[in-house]
Amino acid sequence: MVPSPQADAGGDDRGRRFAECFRVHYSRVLAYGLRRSLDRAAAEDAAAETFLVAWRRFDDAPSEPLPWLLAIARNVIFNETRSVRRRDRMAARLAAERLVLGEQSAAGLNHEGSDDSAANARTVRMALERLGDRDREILLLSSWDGLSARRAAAALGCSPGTFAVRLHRARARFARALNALSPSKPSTSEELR
Amino acid sequence: MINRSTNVGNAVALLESANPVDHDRLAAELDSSSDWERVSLLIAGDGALQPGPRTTRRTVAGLLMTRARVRVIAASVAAAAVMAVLALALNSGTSAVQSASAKTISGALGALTAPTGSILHIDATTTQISTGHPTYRWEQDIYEQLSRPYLTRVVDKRLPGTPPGTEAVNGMRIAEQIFDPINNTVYRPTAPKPKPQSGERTLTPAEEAHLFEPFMAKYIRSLQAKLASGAARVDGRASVDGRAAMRIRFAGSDEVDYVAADGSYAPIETITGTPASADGQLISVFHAFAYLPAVANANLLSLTAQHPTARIDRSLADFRAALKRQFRDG
Repeated sequence: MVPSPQADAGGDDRGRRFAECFRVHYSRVLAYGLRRSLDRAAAEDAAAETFLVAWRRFDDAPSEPLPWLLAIARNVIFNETRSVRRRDRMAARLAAERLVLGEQSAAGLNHEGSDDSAANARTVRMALERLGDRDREILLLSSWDGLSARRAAAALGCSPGTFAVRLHRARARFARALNALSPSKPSTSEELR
Repeated sequence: MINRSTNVGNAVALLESANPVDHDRLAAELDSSSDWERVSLLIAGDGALQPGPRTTRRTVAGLLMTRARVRVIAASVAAAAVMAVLALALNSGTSAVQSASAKTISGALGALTAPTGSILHIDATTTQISTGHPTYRWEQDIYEQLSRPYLTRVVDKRLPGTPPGTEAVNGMRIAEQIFDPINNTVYRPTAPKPKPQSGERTLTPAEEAHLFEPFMAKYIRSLQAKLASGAARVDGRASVDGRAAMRIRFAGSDEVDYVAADGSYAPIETITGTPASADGQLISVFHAFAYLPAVANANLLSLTAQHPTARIDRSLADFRAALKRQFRDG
């Protein structure tokens, strides 16, 4: 028996609760993958796999499952990007992205007075790439996935106090990374880690 | 706009504006039935865990196991404590040093043991030292209820990006509340009541504790387990926070704990990690550590009781705005 998204109270209770969890949170998990540079198909694969893992462990699900789901998604994406199939796909995507970024850099990043949001988005992504994985994840959980400190801390398995300090640092490094992208001051990624 | 002087606030605003996914739009365009079908097929193909009646029985068994496991762990901790003390005492022979060590470890374990129905009160300053990064320090006064509904009140006396005196209360089945000392307001949003669902099982006490037990209470429990593991030894004396203390180290660990040398054995400092480790070195100095009777001190867990003159604001939008304003760094 497979749980139905429309499962009613008369059906399997575990299945019904899981279906409700899927209905409420699937789009958030999919968005999480898309925001971490997966293409749509890869993000859908990762989201489906996340819910498969969630189903296996559903008896351990907390009452507020989103941080728990995102922690699973992070591991799924990490494991998937290590696999050969995904690695090749990711390498091709990154190569294409670097080409675009390279062109942008060669053209010079004169953002003074520019209101080009696409250029800003590319610069933001460049700055994010210069950060360590942990800083990037902290920033994205907070600014893109919209998690409160408490929920983001739960997703990362740390205390809210530790998360607050890490976020403080990550934001400072991100601002430095943006500033370092000024054409007048080239910077190495090592400086920012 | 990006320039060399982009500050942290601008950088965060820029990051937020560059969010590549509009969640609301994504959610609106999703074909949930096909996405669900994909997950359902994956689950159906996952032979090891077919849902259904068998799973229900497994769940019940799992819950029983969880309860049993908690009892076993609790018993193990208590037994290990006795064993650790006995081992130290037996091995000591006539060694006064080892006897003193056993007495200290036993005393430290006793000082951490909470009477039934307590609130844990910790007034602490924590410093994080990390190689290559600025040193951070934050000061918090923390009150944690050790039984349901696990209310926690945290007073942020000093936290980067947060006005001093900001307070928050959390707990099981209550919406988060915060106190803004600048406008003397308690933000206490009215949360919609969850719809009761037929057939929904209630959480066991062990599950409730697992989900809602406050952070410091969990930490103290892990410290108890370490003290009881037999790996602890007393390693001299020191002065911490102006108090005479005994230093405790653990075999195979870089953690160092200091307990009061005045016979109370109350924890007064704990040091974990090193400046070069991933989270840096965390040094927590406990200016106060006490278990308070919960009934007589219930007011310590209430923002309105602590701030009787404060305005009460029940707007969810105002609460969210206050949260953003008071916890600028999250």
